[in-house]
Amino acid sequence: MSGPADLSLRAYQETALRVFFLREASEEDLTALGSPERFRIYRNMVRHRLEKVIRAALPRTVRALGEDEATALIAAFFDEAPPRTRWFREVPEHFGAFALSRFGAGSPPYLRELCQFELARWTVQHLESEPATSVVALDFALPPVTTPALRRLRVEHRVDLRGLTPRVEAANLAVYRRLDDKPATWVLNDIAAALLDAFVDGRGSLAERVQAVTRARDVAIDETFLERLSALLADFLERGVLLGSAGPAPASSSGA
Amino acid sequence: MALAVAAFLFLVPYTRSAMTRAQESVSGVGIGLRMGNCEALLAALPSEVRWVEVHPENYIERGGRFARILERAREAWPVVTHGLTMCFGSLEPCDPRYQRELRSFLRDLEVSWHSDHACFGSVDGVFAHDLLPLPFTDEAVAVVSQRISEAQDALGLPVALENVSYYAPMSADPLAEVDFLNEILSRTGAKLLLDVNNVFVNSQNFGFDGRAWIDRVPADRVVQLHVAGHLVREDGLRIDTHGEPVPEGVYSLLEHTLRRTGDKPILLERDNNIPPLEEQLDELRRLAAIVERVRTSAWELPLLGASA
Repeated sequence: MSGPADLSLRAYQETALRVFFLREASEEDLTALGSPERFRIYRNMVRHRLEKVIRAALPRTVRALGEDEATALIAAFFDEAPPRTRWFREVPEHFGAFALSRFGAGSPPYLRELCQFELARWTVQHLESEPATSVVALDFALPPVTTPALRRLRVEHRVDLRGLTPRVEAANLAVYRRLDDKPATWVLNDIAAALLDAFVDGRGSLAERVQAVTRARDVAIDETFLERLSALLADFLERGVLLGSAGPAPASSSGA
Repeated sequence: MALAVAAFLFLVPYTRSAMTRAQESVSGVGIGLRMGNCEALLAALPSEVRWVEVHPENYIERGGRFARILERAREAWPVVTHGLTMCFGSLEPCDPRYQRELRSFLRDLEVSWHSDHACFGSVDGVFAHDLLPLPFTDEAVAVVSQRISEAQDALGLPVALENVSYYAPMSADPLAEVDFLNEILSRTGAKLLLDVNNVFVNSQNFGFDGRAWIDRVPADRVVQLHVAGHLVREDGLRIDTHGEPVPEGVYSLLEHTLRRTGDKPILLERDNNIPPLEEQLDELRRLAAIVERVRTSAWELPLLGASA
């Protein structure tokens, strides 16, 4: 009887991976592994575990696709672009990237945004929440620091609202991990969204980033604006979206 | 001068003692700290739990709640680490970035060894996210030995290799696995994390004597034991789910193992269908009773010998 011990280690492992991930396991591969029924069990175990985490992360996307199409899409993912991450928690993101490339003209118009939204909710739960830099109290003269567990989305359908068919309505969404580690969604107006984008991706101090946004949008920095900015910053801080300002870089350790 | 000597005499042993504190205190019965049981365990801090085991993959690059759980666990118990993704049978060397992160994580925890599995989990960067068996061949011995040596160098720590459960025959000789593992241990100097449940599952699935398997293990290499429950399918095949109560056969094989290896830290693994805390504690008490029984009989044997 042939089996894993009769193959080179590479041939065995590559054959096993094909059995697990290809749309249909070939009889030739199963026979080479020596015990087709047992390797079918492994195939089911591997696929079930991965499929389970995908469905847990994207339940509404799966419902919107419909069971048959969702099952086919997951099978296509295994077949064509199986997960290339050691982090089990990242498997849904790998599936999501594949799925987004496959949603076509026949898909519901909101499907892409729904998938992105659910991926954002899943991802922020599992991202590192500690910034790489040291953080001090918020200071307009220093660069702002936002939580790494944050995703910003601009959507044309209100996929953040529960319901079978999201209504057509543009919105700026900030998806973030709350201080109690639950995922949360915050709908921002255009200015608040632009400010948050500038806090995450911009350059310079907090004051410089605010000025850049107001210049680009031709917004006057008057008393009303400053009051609203103050309230917004307080809200950002309270929600854990904004953590403070970047402090001095930690001293490099000396010695071995 | 006298003060300096006194400081040297007292401080050096103190420092060494502190460095080995984690290793010395990992004894008795521990439990796998999982998201499904951590809140109950951390709230109750039950005396039945002497130490906990964590999967680094659940904590690295996360922070937030995960970091806080780990910190609370460290305050309560010695923490041991058990990896899921180094999988020493992989054809490719482990990602150096991950190894650096893992090394830093293990140093922060002050663990004395790190364990992972005698299996493969990925090929050419594709991860199956399962612990897949290796054939018990010379080629696999060479690959696993190479990966373990690389891991020990990269982590700066002793590595412990865990035997896995498998459902397809990996050799014509069902006891070949223990020779396979022994050869790897011999080549690498690695430790053994002996999973008693996996030995039991394999023995039932492939019809060999689990005790004979255990009897061929080098007892001095065993640093830790795992016990768990498993699923018995309708066709009789046993699947290592960590989702069922520990069965009698595993308790029995554990007792046999302890009589062979001597007192070793024992971990209860429960990853799925996690029951209420009291049920988990019942299993820990049962395990502790076995430890105590073996300890007592180990003391009695020399006395009986002396009086004979």
